[in-house]
Amino acid sequence: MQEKANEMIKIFIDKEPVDAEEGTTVLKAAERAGIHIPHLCYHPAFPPEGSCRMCLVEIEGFPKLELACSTVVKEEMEISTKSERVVEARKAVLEFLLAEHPLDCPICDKAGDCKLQDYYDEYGLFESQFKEAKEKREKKLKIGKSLILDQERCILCTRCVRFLKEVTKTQDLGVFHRGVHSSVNIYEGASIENNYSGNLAEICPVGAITDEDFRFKTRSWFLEEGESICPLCSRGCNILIEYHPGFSRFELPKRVYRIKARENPEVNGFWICDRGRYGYSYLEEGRADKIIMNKIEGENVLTWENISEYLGEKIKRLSYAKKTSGIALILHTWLSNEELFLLHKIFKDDLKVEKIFFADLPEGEADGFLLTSEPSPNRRGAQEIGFDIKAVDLDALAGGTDFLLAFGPFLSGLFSPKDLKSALDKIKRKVLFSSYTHELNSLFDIVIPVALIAEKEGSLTNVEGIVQGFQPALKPPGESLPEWKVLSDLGKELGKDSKFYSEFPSPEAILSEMGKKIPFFKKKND
Amino acid sequence: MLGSAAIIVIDDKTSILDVLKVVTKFYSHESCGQCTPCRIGNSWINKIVKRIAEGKGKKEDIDSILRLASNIEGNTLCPLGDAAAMPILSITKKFRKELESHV
Repeated sequence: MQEKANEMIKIFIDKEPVDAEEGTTVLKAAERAGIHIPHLCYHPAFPPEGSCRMCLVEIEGFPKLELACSTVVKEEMEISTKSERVVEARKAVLEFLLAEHPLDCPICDKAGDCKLQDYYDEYGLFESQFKEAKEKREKKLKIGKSLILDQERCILCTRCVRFLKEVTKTQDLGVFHRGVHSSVNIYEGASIENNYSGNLAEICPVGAITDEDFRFKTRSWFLEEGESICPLCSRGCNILIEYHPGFSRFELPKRVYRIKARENPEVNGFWICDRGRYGYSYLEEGRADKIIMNKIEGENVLTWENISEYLGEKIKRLSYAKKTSGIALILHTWLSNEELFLLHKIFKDDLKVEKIFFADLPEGEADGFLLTSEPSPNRRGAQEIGFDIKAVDLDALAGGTDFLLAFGPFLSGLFSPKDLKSALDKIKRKVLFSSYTHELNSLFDIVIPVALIAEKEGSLTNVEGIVQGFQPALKPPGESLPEWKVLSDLGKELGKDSKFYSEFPSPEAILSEMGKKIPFFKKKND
Repeated sequence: MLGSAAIIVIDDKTSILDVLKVVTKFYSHESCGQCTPCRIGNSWINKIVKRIAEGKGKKEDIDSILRLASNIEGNTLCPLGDAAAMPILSITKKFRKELESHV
């Protein structure tokens, strides 16, 4: 996927001198210089196909127009991407494509998100001269678990065919017939069921392949996008979360409408798996948005402002009475590097707490490509920070414990409600940090709603040890805030080394401190 | 009349519209369908010529054929596009009068 660092040569694009890597193509060199050359069949994940003819450019000394996607640059090459000849050829190709296109944009799910539309807007704007009957083809062909193919909208760029040949190697689609009757179709008896099928709707440059998960739910131009990292396994695929900012006059059933892959050659290339793409209901369903106080002494009303003070006081009391052995922690590996680092520092280094357990989802199955068997994003980070990842042992947890600080909703999936209740009932004070309203919450004195990875700032360490930062893509619901905030306040509150914690206005500052303490986290912050 | 390295001898009693119909049908059928100009251009021209032969031609159709054929020429993936454009362009240019009598 990655090119070798070659020597740079000088070329001229639209008379401007441009530095280009030796061996690269005209299209890539132009892209690097910020000049977009329209293209439909070319996709950076695959070798050039050269069939759409949209990327034709004029090169000095060549009699015909040449393809930008496959022509390799040469020293002193003079390329015109905007000459009259080029613009005319582009227009001609667009006219051909649109002649046999149904032009059903008003009812097309891809409208607003379609390269054919964009290019017509930029280079076309001609009146239709096509007076003949268009070819009739299949408009609604179910080709996979969530994919619909409209052959009339298809421009035969064959990105989908090549994806299934080169990436998933399942070869479910092919081009059938020839000439104007050519159409993409599914082989008899086949159905696209692999774990990467959703990428097809994303790489289709037009409305030919649409996704049932997204189809007709909203219009793409209403959506805004935020960058994030998929937390559903330890690969740490880079994603874009597309959400609806909402209408003022009526409420929408949800805010997140689509997850897309974000290119990162080091981690996920151009792709994400279907689990990450379609499994976004965790961002919406059953979210907790208020601090729940089931059992609390006196007239205390907890808010985010006094929560760390409240927790700090309880912990300090145990600490003065030399009873920190009565503190237990249940963590999980959806917590960021920074949060786990603060937890390690406060509870393990300073308070010498020994009962630290991890409650995560049970291990799943890897698919041999991107999806790993670890269903959480930061197990590696927890290990590098120095945690021994021990599963929860209810007897060890409850015995002699006065104060339990638990994180995450995963505890309930690991034990029966009865066992859980009888163990937790033995513990005097219990506080849970969770993003969800859940039966589990009733077993705790206080439940503090927290932001999910998509809603906070921090970093995660993926299965290969790559530390990736992330910024909030969405607003957390209601009173939810990120854990790192309450933890750094708690550190300050506990008084031990309070100057250390007061230097943490952001996860970035915590990560840079981590780099000084743990060599593993250093490389990113040199 | 040269197209795909072939010489076709046509006598003066043959209707040039019939020749154009055969030529465009042939290339429309021969197109493999991979690249846009050849796939759609040849079929489009063939559809126009068929319409003219049905007596439903319009004056501007002749110019359309010329425009479309020159948009195929030089812009395709393989030389079949050029091979198609050449005879279509030469027939339409050289026998324009005869074609115009059909519209």
